[in-house]
Amino acid sequence: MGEENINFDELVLEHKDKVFNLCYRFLGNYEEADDCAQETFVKIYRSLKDFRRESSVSTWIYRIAVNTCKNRAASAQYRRSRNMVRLDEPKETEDGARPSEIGDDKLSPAKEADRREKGELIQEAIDSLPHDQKSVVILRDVEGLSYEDIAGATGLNPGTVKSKLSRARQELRKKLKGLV
Amino acid sequence: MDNKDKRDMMPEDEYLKQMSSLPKVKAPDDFLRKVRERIEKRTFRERMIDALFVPFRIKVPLEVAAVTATLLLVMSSLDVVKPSKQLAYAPKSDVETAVIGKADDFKSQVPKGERITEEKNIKFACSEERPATEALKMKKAEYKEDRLRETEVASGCADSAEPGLSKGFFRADVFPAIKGYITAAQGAITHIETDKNTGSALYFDAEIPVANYESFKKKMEDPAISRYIRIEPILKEAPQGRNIVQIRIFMI
Repeated sequence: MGEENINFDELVLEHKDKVFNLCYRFLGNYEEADDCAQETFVKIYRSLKDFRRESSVSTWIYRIAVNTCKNRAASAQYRRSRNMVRLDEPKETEDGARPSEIGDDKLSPAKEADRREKGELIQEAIDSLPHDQKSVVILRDVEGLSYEDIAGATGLNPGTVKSKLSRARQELRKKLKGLV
Repeated sequence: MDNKDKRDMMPEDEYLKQMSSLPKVKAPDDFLRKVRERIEKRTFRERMIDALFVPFRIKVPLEVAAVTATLLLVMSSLDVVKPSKQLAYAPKSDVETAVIGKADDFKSQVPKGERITEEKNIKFACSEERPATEALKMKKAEYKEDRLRETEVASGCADSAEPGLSKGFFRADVFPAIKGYITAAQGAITHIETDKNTGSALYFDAEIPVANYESFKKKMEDPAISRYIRIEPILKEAPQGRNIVQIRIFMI
């Protein structure tokens, strides 16, 4: 493997969790997120030589990830799978355990169940948003990106980002009122 | 946003707290390995598509591409309606057989190949590559169910070469047929005047030996041929020392 490949491996290791979480929040399905995150990195690998460093590597990766998620969400295959597989139900691994989530390991089982339920409700609310609003709200409120980085990742103007975020937040706050 | 709307919503700080506390879903441990496998497992089809469409990765403005495509479409449609394009050669499966005269007469006289007219596709069964007898067999096999046509072909090819050419005889067949008759009469074509646009013969001059002229003339009187031509002897009598008749045949 050449130097470029080693750099690519480092890039994957550094960004895989962020990309995976974005894909999971966007698609609401663990398997789909896994596939979509892999596809994102395959695209990154193929276009690595064309990357001109006009934006940060992180923004560039988010941009590819958002576009891949949007394409996936628009595909007929994905729509079919959503009809067949329950949302927010991560696939069990070979040893029967659920995929790990970064959280407080010291939570009691009751609190853990409550937290998982809340997370599912929020995810359902996110799933109901249009793609543009969904990507903006995930990047801002879940991933914590700046407006400029979100604009770079989504290809929208910063002003449009703010207005879409505002609309998305209102929508989510309405949906989550009394539920969480 | 008024107060009522605000009452119907989750408080903003609570919302932000909930969103930021959403658990982060981690990628599986073997994620990098799976990505690597996927990169290396590019299918043959994907590689072929990549190779085939490399030229299309050159960025061309959409307007330029649209105008080019429109021009190509217009040019190709104009090309199709050009009269000269209508006289092309056809695939064998698209042609029908028309038989002229006796097989022995035409075996070596009728030009090779298959011609198409605007009206119908015609094939000369009695060409060198396919002797008339063979063509007749083929014809019979192809049109078993069509007894009427079979009879026509049989009578045209084997029984009565003169008079009575096949009914499937068209204007485009006339020139090759006459050429065959001229050769059979030991004559020769000396000049052909063609239409510059279509390439079809307007008239042609020929020389026929006096001894064979009468029999040649009779053949020309067959309605299948005479309706398409007008013969004008250039010389009323044979010039001294030359026992030939010079004629000019106009295609009408």
